[in-house]
Amino acid sequence: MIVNPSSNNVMVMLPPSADPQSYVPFPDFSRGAEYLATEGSSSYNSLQATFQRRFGAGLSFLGNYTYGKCRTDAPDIFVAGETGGYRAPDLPGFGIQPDYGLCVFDIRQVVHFAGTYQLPFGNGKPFLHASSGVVNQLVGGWSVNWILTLQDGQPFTIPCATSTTAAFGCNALFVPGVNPIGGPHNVDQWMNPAAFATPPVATTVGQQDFAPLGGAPGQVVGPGFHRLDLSLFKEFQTSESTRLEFRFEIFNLTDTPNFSVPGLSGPGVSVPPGVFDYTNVQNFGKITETRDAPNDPRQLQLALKFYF
Amino acid sequence: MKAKTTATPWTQLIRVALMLALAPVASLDAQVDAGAISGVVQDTSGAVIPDAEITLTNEGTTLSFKAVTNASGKYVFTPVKIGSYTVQAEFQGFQTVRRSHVVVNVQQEVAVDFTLQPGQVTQMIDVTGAPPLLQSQSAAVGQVVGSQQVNNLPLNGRNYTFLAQLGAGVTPSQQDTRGLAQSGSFAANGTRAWQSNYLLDAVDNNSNLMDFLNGTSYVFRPPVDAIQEFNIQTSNYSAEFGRAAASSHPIRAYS
Repeated sequence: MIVNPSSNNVMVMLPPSADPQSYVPFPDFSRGAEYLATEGSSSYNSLQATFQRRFGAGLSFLGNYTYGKCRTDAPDIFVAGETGGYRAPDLPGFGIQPDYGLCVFDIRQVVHFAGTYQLPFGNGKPFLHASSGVVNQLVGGWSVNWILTLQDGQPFTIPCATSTTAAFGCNALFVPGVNPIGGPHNVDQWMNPAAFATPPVATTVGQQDFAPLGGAPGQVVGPGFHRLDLSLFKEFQTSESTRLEFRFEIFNLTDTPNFSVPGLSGPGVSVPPGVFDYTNVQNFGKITETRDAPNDPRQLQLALKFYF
Repeated sequence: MKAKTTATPWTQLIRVALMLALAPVASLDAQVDAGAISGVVQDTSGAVIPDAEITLTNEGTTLSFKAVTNASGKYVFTPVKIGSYTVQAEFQGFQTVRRSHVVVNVQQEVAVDFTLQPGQVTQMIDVTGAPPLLQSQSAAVGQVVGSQQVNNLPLNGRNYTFLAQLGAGVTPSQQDTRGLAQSGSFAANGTRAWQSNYLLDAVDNNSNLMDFLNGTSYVFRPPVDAIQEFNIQTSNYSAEFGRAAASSHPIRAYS
């Protein structure tokens, strides 16, 4: 897969106090000019099931279930909001492989269930089929449609709270035995500040111990997405070839907020400082944005549609 | 004043050359948003019948086509515009068999096989049951979403691309500040959102790079009422789709 590492990078481990510019191959040029290379790899495994009923007795539906896992060392190159770039792509013995982790769009389990049901009342239906004109216009022609979406969350990366080297990135380590999503695990504090630790700081130039760069990316999975959209239709046969449809559509019927991963801003929303800084117990893990920015409350929509 | 209408020999030559250059293009149109019908004609003993006459009639327009089976008893209609069809097989010395309501979807190759009974050609057997659901003609994995679903399902913002997620293995793309996931972009089988191939009536509808300003990976989004059906193909799709590693996404608009 295409990735964009950068060039003229530092190629040795440096203590945070060192001046990185004097350790690059071309000290007269700036560091980190990007280029594209096909050296990433990606792996996806899944179980997929589809459950479909073609139209019969007024009911049709389509459901699917996916249990999947996506891992890659090739972060998306065009899209903002991506897992931070590579930690040390040009460090011999390190490269991009240690950045192999969950894809940012990885979702463990997904259920989608959509369908249409024509209510069984009125002419040509099991109930009240002998109704007269007015009654039939009242009880017949109703149908209900829905889309149910249930998705697990998507992963994100927690960087180190303080620099451990002069020029390389660093991912926070887990504190053994502490639940990373222990604590409130809500929009005020999605993950547990006590569960993350900074790896040891680099002490010597060119040290072969890469522990200061921390662990794999994508340590924590964000909030899931749960939503039910529902609509109710009433059809009026206005003549042999024309009909009028009244549509009442309710989006997000349960008014469930679907939150983003921490650290995303949107229109009118700014990210407080320290959202990814586990030493900032106040703001760490605070979620400030919903998936459907700026917000996605329950919405009702009425419509008339004339078929001719 | 009178406009000058006579063309010089040179412009005429250029016109003819242009016509010749463009002519073959017309015959290649619209295959990726169409389907196909094929099958084998046999007698009751299982022997194939060559030269049997097959008539394909579109039930919506009553437009019909004819073909004859080849030496191995096989016939193929391709490309076939999506819709509902009647297929009829006849051969001297056998009863005619007619199969109604054969539905062809985008990129679907429907198998309709016939077993002819001895008898008069004028005797007609009507078969109205649906052809077998198992699709043995193509290895492509995908989900067809028909016009009824496209039109009826509650789609906030009337964005049909969210229906792609009704296919197994399709998940929304990553959360970002540009609203890619909100625009309906998706990751099919664990690939990047921009690795999908959007086709509208067989024409490339891909945003060349991700549309950074609008956060979409397609150029044009037709209104849901204009969509006859779409197909999300996630695996093993036909080579003509090329280009995309992730999925192919042909849509057929009403025409």
